[in-house]
Amino acid sequence: MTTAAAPPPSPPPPSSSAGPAVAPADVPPGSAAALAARGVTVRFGGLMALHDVSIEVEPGAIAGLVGPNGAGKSTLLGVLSGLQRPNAGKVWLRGEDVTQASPRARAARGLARTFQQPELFMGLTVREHLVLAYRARTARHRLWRDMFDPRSLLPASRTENDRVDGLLELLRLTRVAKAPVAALPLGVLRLVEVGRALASDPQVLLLDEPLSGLDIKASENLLLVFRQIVDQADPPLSLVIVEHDVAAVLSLSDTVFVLDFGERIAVGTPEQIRNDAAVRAAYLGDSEPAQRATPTSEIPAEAAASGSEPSPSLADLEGRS
Amino acid sequence: MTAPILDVVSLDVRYGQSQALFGVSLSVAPGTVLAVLGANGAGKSTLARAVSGLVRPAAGTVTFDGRDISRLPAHRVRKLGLTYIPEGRGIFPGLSVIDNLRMAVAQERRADRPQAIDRAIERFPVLGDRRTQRAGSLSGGEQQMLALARALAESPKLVIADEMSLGLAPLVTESVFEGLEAARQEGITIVLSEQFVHRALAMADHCVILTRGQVGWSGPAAEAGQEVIDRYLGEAEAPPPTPAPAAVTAGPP
Amino acid sequence: MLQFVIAGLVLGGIYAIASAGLVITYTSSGILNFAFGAMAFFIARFYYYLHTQESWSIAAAAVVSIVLAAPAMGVVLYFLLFRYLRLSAPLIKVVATIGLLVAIPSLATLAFGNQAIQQAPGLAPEPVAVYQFLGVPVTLDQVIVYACVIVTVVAGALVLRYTEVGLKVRAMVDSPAMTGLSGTNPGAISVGVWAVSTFFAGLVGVLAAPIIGLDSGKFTVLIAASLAAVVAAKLRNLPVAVLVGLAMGVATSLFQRYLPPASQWTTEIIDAVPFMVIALFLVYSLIRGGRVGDNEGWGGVLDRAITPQGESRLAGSASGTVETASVGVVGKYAGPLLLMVVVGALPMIVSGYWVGLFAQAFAYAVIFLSWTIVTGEGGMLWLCQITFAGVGALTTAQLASNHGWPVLAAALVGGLVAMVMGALVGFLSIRLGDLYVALVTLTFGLLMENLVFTLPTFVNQGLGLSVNRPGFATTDLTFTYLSLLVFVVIALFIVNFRRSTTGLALNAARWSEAGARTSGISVVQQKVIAGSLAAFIAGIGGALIAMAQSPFQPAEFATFQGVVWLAIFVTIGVRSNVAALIAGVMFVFPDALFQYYLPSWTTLPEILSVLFGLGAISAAKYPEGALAENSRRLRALLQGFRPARPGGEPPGDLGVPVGVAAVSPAPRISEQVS
Repeated sequence: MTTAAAPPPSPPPPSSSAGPAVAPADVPPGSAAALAARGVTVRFGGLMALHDVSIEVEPGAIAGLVGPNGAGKSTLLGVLSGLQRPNAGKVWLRGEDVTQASPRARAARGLARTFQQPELFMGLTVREHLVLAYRARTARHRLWRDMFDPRSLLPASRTENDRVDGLLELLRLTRVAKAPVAALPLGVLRLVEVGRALASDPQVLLLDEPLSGLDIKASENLLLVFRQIVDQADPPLSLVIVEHDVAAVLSLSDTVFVLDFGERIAVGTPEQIRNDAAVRAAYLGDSEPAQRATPTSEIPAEAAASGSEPSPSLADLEGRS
Repeated sequence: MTAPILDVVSLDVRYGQSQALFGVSLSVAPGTVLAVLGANGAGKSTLARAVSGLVRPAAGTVTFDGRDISRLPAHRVRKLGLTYIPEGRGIFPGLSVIDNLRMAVAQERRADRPQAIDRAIERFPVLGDRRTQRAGSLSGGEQQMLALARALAESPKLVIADEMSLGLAPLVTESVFEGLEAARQEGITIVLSEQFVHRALAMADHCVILTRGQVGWSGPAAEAGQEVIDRYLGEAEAPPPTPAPAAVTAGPP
Repeated sequence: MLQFVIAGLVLGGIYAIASAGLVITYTSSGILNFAFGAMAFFIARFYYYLHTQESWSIAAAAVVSIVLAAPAMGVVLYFLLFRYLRLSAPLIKVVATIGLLVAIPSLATLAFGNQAIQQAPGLAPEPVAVYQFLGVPVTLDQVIVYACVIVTVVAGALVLRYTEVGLKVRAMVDSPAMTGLSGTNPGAISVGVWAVSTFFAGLVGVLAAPIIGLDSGKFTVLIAASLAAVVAAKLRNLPVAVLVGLAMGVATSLFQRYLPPASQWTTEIIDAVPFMVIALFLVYSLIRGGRVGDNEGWGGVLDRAITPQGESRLAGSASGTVETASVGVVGKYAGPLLLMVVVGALPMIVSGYWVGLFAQAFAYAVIFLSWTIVTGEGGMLWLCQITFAGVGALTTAQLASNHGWPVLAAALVGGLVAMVMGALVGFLSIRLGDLYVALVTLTFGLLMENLVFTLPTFVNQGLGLSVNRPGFATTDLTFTYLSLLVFVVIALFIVNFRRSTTGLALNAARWSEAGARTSGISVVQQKVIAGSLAAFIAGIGGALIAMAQSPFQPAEFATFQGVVWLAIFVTIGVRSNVAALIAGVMFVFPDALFQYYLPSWTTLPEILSVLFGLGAISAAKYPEGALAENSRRLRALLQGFRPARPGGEPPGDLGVPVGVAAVSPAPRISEQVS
């Protein structure tokens, strides 16, 4: 796996613990970042879903976003893609403030995403999903002009066909290209969503739990695909991946952000995250380094290993990549 | 061994065309705590919904306290003494705190209701200060305490608590667990579905691990430690990198 | 002044009770009851039957009709229909109540006779006593209305606030699933709520009959006005709905006081009050931005989690799509083509009177095509297609007859005028969600019907308007084929539309808003395009009808009639062009055939209405419509024992790694909150 055009292989931010935000919330980050968010806060009624969360993704980098159930990962993706308005904080896409921009406007600026429960168009075939996304980005006028044009029944342009068929090939969807998505199993649907996202030639792609519901073989395949599309992308493509499969995220990402209770509790390289005490505590439910509720006898080994030592489980996960 | 209070045999559940549970079997002895663990989407909530009568199982039986409840609607199941606290706050967000409690004790005899409500508030005094507040505007922890107070107000025989700690700060999680612990002291059987593995196992007597809608492993909670971590964090089908017992990863029994 | 406030409170009180009845069933079961007015009419008619026709005493008739029959109707309908609708898609719910709206008035006629009723007595004994209140004359009928409003509002508030039943109803509104988990049977609460709601309907019917007369159309208008209050209350807020209802009544009365009484405009503004309330609400929410979101308006998180998602949607369900895909090109086009040829040849075979009927049938088929786009493709329920047809017809008549335009050019402009209206209505309502689209289009239709279609220019002293057919198609036969040609051209356009990028984008907007928006597609824009195209098509169809049955009356384009059309069309199927053609024929011929051969069978139109209404209700079971359902069965029969494949492609050798294809079926529900 070579890093072809991808710029900084792994830009490790300095701190691996929570700490304060890297910069004041109203200062725009360097326009070098493909996607950045500062001080994002979201409240649902009495529930604080996100509190002062910041993330930054370099062009061509893969950022992982992990954390236990209810940590606010999907909410953050919603804020980044524009489906969720934050109560506070800002979002920049390639240096441009898009906090107030609609999802559609962000898509036009090169942001694409997938959903945990695939949000597909039940009346369309696999190929039509890709064609539509391609045209929505590159040939906007077709969205309303086409209906009067009997030529829409004829084959589309060469570039469009090349791009769409290439993506179908890459995702190994060629055989089901003409099938309506309503009839396909979940694993294929996830690929269709990825294909639809890629067909709009994004510079940033947000992936919401792309592996959930997939078996191990399919997961590994999809991870390879992600690596491949990032390596081949020109201009560079950044990925933000939210996933429960920590091992997969650690193996894929350049930088990993860890959320817990709506706050960013850690950020760093996969290596740093693996050894982070706060992360382990968050995942295993050990509330604080100093244990308040003593666990029963069968798990003192892990519970005690709260400090410097990497947990056996998290260290082992590394071996999977 | 005493007869189980809850006995689930070969339970299948479908949502529309997709199947969420495949032949799940488990049983819970009276007065014990069962932890149901598993990754996101493994079927924990589906299992709880099917047992509590919200979702009708496609096949299999659920026996509670010697009665087949597989086909009973939720309100009948509740009247038999099985209470389900659903994931994400088992409350009525639009009703006041006191109305939430009144709904919970609506099945009691009219004369007994005030005492039942008083007992519930005694258990979680913070609710007493918020009687007239809309439940939806409580903090996450208070909402969860209200959910627990509601569940325990009617002295149930069995409580299914689904992801009670979801989105709660550690300290608050702790007091929720204290509430559950108190319930267990009173002899109430508890089925616990929880993401905080260690916390759940610390309290449980037995443990069931669900993977992709099937029982991946079940046994005494004391033996679950390493197994849980492998399955829970590392996605079940991962070839175990550590020398874990091979039999355990072999899939559903 | 005071006099008018007091008078206004009568109408306002009736609005208020109706709004309350609508809101309680919407919040507790997610069903916005479009048939509320029809139910009110049925009970009012029943009261009239008992009291006037059968000479029962007022008290006995009132108790039997309002206190016994009305709640019983709610209970029966709950067990027959509403309880199955609880988990249906919003569109299906609307269609089912629309079916009731069509069927119930005809059932009343069948049950109680079709005599014309000039004057319907109220609950006060005749002659109605008149009192003086603060120097204002008040009739006993009015006093009874005030008493009923005060009793229902106060009693309702007390029951909801302080009783255990009220608590359970409020809990049910919050979350039916949680109510069940608390040990209360949500079904029992639902029955009760429906009984109370239909009791309100009965009360409204009997109270309103002396004021508006016993006319089902008037009742629909009355309820549309109450729907304005419901819209202003965002469908859920009971106190706001009641207050807005009262305020609308007073406003109407004050307009009567302060506007010149003799002016035509005064009556029109009074008719327009409900629409102004809706328009204010729409503009306000447009300025405020953001969605009101009807789809998430019902139940809690848990209720949505246990509801099967995306199933039993009206038209375009997964199974139907797969079906078409597996039939192949020949199977896909052979049937429709054959049918077109047969229907196309029929006008050659028959003669005289019948040829003209075919011209009408094809013109109606064109109007039905507008629903093929907006409902079949766009997934929206527009209830004012007949209004657009009327606009097309009137514009054509004006331009061609009064201004000497060539009739085809006039028809085109008629279509364009309808299109502009469609775009405006769509732009204002679509962003609020599908339920608001149905509400707003219904109100818009009634506004146009009462405000514009009644203008003296159009009514033309009751003579109606006439349009000459184009010079090359003056005979029935040539004109019939011109209509068929227009139908075929538009049908081909729709075929092209489906495959075009616009069609794909509309499909995207319909099936997944989040998916569409994050793919760079504007949901509102696509749906507005669909709505305005449909309005254009309906306008053209209206122009054809004007030419086919000239002279015509503007009153023929009554909104309620359009709802009957929709019921027919939904029964046959909203997806395909062929269904539109069949619906056109179905609408014209059974009636004409029976009138010709069995003229003495006077109840036939009522029976047909009831059947069409039941057909629309059956959409809850067969969202694809009867045509798709039957062709599916036919095909299954023809294919015999050949095992049917579930999908378009067997999932075996997909070129996808086996693991991806044979993935474990994950539940549709989300187990996650973050």
